[in-house]
Amino acid sequence: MRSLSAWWSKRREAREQELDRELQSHLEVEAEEQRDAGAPEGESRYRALRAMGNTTLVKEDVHAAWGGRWLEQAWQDLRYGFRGLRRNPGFTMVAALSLALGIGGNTAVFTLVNAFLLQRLPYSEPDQLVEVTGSYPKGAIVALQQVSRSMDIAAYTPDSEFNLKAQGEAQRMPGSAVSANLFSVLGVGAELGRALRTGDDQPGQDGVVVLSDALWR
Amino acid sequence: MTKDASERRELLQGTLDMLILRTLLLGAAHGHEIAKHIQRTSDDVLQVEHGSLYPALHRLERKGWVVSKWETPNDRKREFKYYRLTAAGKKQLIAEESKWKQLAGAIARVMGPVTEG
Repeated sequence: MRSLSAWWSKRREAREQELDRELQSHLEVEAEEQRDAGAPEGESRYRALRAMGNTTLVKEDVHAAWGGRWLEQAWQDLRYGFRGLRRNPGFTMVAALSLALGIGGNTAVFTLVNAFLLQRLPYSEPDQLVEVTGSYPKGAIVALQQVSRSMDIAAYTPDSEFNLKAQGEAQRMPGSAVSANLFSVLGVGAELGRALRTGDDQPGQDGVVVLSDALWR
Repeated sequence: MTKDASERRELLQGTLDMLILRTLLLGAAHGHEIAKHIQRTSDDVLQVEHGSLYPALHRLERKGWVVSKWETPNDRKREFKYYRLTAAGKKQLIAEESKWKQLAGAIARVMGPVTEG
């Protein structure tokens, strides 16, 4: 940053000197002309200066024509701001802390909003999915499935547990009894083997299990 | 040769650029020459304020319509910053000239002779 500002002011200085030279040459020609027009020796330079008008103002206007003045002023404002912050460490602390809290809070809330509201569920048609909260007996599900014409109905049992006996002792496992069409309604399949399909919930043929990825590993 | 102050006219805003570009069409010139040329050609009616001449020159240079170079004229010992018209500057001059003619024509028509009914 320092070298950039040094480069800028060096470039600025060079242009400044060139402008001085340009205006100076103008003044000299003007003075010569005043002399030729018969102005007394001491008077000619004074008249040339008067014809030029306010030299400082001319320079200021030329600076404006160069452009980049906003950058210079912004840089000055920035440095002034930093000096102010260093002078008032207490204020700086409070300001930085409230900024940090504000940004942190926003990030946390956005993370939740993003996960629950903005991201689509990983199913084939998430905007067509409706979850009905409330429990229905198994028979009611079957009856509803037969009656409904506008939607496919799948069901699962919440908060169920099952015995899992592999080698050694049996373990209690969280799981869920589901209707055979759950996977086709959600539009998802199994990574290995097959997911449930029609008929898997018929009595006598319902010994089918889909393991979660975590359990399978 | 110099006219009364009452006869001198301030330049219309926006016309200075056009006058500078038109002057440079005749060849490279430094600031003082440009101001003198405009003054002389207009029979001393138009006064180019130096306060607006140099900002205008630097603005035109920034827009790429003129380029500048320090050169020593044959009859002098010192260097002057000479301005020269670029191709883009010529194009700009044509555009401003046609805009000016339109404006001047429009004003002339409004100020035309009054026909008394």
